[in-house]
Amino acid sequence: MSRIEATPPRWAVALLRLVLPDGSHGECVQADLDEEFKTLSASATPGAARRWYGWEAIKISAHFMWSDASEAWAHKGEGGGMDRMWQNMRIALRRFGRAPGFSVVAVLTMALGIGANVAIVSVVDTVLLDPLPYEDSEELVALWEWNVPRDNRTNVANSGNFAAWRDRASSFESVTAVSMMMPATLRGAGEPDEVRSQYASPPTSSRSWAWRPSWVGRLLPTSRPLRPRRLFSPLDTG
Amino acid sequence: MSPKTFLGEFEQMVLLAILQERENAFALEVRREIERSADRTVSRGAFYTTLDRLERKGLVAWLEETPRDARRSGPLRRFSVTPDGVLALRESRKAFDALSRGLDGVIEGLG
Repeated sequence: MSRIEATPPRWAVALLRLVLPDGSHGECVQADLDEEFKTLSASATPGAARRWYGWEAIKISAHFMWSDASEAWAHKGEGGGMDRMWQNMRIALRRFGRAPGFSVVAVLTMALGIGANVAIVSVVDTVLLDPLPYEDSEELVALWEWNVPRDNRTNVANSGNFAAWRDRASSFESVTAVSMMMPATLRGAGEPDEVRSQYASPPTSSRSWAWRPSWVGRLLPTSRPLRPRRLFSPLDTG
Repeated sequence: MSPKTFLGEFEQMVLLAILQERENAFALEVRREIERSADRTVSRGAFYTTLDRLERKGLVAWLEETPRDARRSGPLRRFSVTPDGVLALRESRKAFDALSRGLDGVIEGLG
């Protein structure tokens, strides 16, 4: 039966590539270790040879890292903070270049982490922490129908139901109906532009005018409750 | 070279082992020579970082060679001791001899 050729542990090889000096210098050290590994593999079990290689890789890496740190410490007085920072940047870039796979994974991991954190903080800040841009925004609620047979808790209310809520509900200071978002063409002095728009019924209380600052459109007169007007999102008109 | 380069004990061993190996002064052979002659285990990390340090000091030079064994995964380095390296060894030996003068009886007596 042919003997299975042992291979060094991948992590140990990657560690050495990361830590050993650039160019042929580092390659020679790694090749020396590989050669000793092959010699050992001929007389030891693959597992023992791999364990030996891993342990030697750790020890060699520790020596080189300690040597680099000692060197940097010995020369810490030479040059200013910017010089040292620039030197550290160059060392980091060289090591990134030496292990591109590891670098890509590390950069992507950091990018995802930072991106996710920024997104979460932004959403939490906007949705939970920042008040809505309306007066007494904490009193603002959305009403939906609950279609029990279909178990749809955000069923769109028809105009009859809305009229009943508006006329009979005593828990709300004011009730206003808004339609779904729909595209509309905005025409004026310049080029026409497509914007998103919603129809809205006039509010039942003057207090609801507090909504207006975030919308573009004409004031909705309460004296004409049956004529809905179209509101435009300010983001689209920008 | 600086006016005087003082060598550590292990640095002296590495330089002497390179000189002993002459044309065969490759890293693995040099390390084995130290282990054989000094009867001690030599850490690979300490050995390679010492070679680096000696090279930075200008006491050791190396030439890259194509390995004869095609299965070898990378290049080989043949080391040599520079004239400055020989001078540093001489200075170290001189200091050692001066400090040892008249102590043969004490040193041998303890053996």
